[in-house]
Amino acid sequence: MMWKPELLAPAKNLERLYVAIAYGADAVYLGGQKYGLRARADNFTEDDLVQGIQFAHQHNAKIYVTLNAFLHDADFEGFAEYCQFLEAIGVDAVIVSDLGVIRRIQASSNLSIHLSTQASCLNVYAAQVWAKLGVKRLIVGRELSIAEAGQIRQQTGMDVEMFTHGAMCMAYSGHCTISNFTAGRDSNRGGCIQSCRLPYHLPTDHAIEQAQPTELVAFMSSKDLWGISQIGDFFTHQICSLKIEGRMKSSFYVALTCKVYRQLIDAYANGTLDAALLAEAAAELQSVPHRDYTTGSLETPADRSSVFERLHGINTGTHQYIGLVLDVTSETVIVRLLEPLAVGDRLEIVPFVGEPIAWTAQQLTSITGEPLQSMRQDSVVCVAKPEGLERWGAIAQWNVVRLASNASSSNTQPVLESVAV
Amino acid sequence: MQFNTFASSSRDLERCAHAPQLQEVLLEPALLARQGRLGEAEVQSLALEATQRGLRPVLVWDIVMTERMLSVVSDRLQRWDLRRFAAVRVSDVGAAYWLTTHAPEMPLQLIVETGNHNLEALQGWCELFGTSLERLILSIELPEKQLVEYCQSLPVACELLGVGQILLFYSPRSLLSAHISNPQEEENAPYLETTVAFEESPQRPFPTVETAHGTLMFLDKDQFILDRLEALKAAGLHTVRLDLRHLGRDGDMAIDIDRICQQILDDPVVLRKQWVRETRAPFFNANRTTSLFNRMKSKLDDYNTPQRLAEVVAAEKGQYLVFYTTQSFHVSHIKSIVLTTGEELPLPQNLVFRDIHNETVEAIAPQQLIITEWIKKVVSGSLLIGGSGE
Repeated sequence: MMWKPELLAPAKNLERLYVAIAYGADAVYLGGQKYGLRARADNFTEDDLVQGIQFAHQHNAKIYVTLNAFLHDADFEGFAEYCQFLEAIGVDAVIVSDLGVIRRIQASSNLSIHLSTQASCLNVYAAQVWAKLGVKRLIVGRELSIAEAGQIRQQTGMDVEMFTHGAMCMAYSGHCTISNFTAGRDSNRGGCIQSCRLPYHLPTDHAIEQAQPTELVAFMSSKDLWGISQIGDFFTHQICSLKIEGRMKSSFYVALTCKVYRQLIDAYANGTLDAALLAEAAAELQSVPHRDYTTGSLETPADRSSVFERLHGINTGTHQYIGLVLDVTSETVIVRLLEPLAVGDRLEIVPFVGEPIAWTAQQLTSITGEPLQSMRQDSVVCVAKPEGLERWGAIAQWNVVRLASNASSSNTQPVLESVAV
Repeated sequence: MQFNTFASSSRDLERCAHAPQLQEVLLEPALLARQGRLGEAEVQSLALEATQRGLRPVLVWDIVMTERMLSVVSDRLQRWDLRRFAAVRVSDVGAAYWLTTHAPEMPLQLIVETGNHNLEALQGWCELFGTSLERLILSIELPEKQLVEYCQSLPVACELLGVGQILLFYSPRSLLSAHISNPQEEENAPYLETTVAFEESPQRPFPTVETAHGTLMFLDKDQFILDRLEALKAAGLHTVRLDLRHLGRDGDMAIDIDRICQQILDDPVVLRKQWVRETRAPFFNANRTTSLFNRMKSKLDDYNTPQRLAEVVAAEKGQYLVFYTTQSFHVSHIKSIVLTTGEELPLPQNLVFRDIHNETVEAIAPQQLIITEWIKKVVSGSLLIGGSGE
């Protein structure tokens, strides 16, 4: 069997974990309720972790727990016991960015340690330092090209993981304290408020030409990363894991990104990756909320084209996520709604494999069988199977449901200007 | 306790030589320093002159480097005469390791201002670099109490920023040049300076600089702890850094450094009052992150999974509730329903549980949809809670 990189997905909670694995993730990274960077994520209780790991291992997937905050001394309370707990329940590795955390882990457990991108490990010499300190895998900074990451792997023998999709810090990871000093929230202990995405007053040349003191610009906001055109490079340089960013993102995002990258990885391994498939992948990734796409520094250092310059730009996509499949019968699909659904809506169910299954909703019923014309959000609805629909059998629990062609979106990006296979 | 400062000219060095307790000058080459503007010849010349004036020249190598960048730097740096420098200070641990490999006798000053906020980490670096490590440059994000403890506990000298700009953001990308022309057209060493401000607070300008190594943003207030050094001095703080780069002019960085050092010794309180830029509170207060988010966290997090039998996924007023089960259980194990507000409601008597086929169920499987009659107050997201020990 041909070697393939691991597909590593984020999970905000148990639902996302199930979705990630169902859509093809080989591993999932998640955070407990302490010691991580995403304090605002739901995060996993200890019992959620037990349940999630059990599910993952049953499906041949791995679980990595993030312990990647920059801890102060007082933060270590209960840390040793927590590490022992993680080891006992079968966590496959922990993700760490702080040497103090590494030493405490080593003192209390035999957990495998991956170095977070937060540590900004970007060169061979730094990698050698972390290897001496007991790190088994490097999650290198987003500032590296794939070739550079491969060079680190080749020269150190360490496993190297790279972000391949999602939001990017504009700063070197860990080198931003805007939240700390302007909002009183430690950006490196879970309190980042994404100050870089805000518009700023800047005395630009244009403002001066207009006789204005400043102009409002979004000069510090990054586009989202995508690496769909670089799948071959990841293979060539034996990047062991392709990481999708987004522990605070929806099941829709997790599902679509996992599905796309699973498909591309498998296609490359099978020798069937071509321009048409890449174009399909690009279109699918446009459907989820994003901030335009860039290849970042995957090939050459990120330049101006990687800046998301829209003022007050928000994440938008071409489709609207409306729900999650909870159950399927021979006649209906039962959907948990996050947005309203009405008769006449053109809905698409995204199966784990294959094309979306689309139809116009003609019959809606409540779960107790009452006919409906619509159902509100935060509820459950039964959508009747239309006559003649093919591939009904491909619909399953954890499938995401979206509405096709969100006409209000103004943030569609042209599909790949060039496609390299 | 000694002082150090940045220098970029002979005039700076002359003033430094006359500054009381200032024993070290920091030299920033364009090749190695985030804000460096000195060429190789300049920095070598200044290092020699500093030594001749009785000052200790320290080479600043504080950039974070990709593998490509480190290869370029390594090639060039191996041709430098590093013996002219008394020490090298680095931020990237890769640079630190490079030095131990290529210049093992060179004293190393490790900048641990980022990601090193606990004693365990600091001790780790001391152990790793051993006798090569001369000094740790500590973070100003640490409270005074911690700084005192570290100065007392660590086996190497410690340094802290006493006065100067506070770095908020360090990006490898060139973020200003798309919007601002370079007036000096120094293509070999671009250096753009401006201020930026949040949309809602234009009165707070953050100084921002773009160099060949990326973009740096600073707080609109300076660090100033020169009137609060007694406890740290008693604890053994070795060096206080006086960063006047942002106050420089005409190619000089250490303007008035001799007067400033004297005034630190004579009357630092007056110096603070007279400081040309607004200063912030002297030490970082306890971080409020956790307390803020505690209020935002779900009230249901306190219920462990063994107690969470199911979640309400639909609540149609006056009609029904739909539960999605998370584990198998018998209806006799149900204790209560907990609302999203945290309020706990007893289970109504004679409540009947049915599956989607309208069959009554008592032994319930995981990941199943269960329907009951509507219960007042219950909304989507509420939890069905089991009793313990049954």
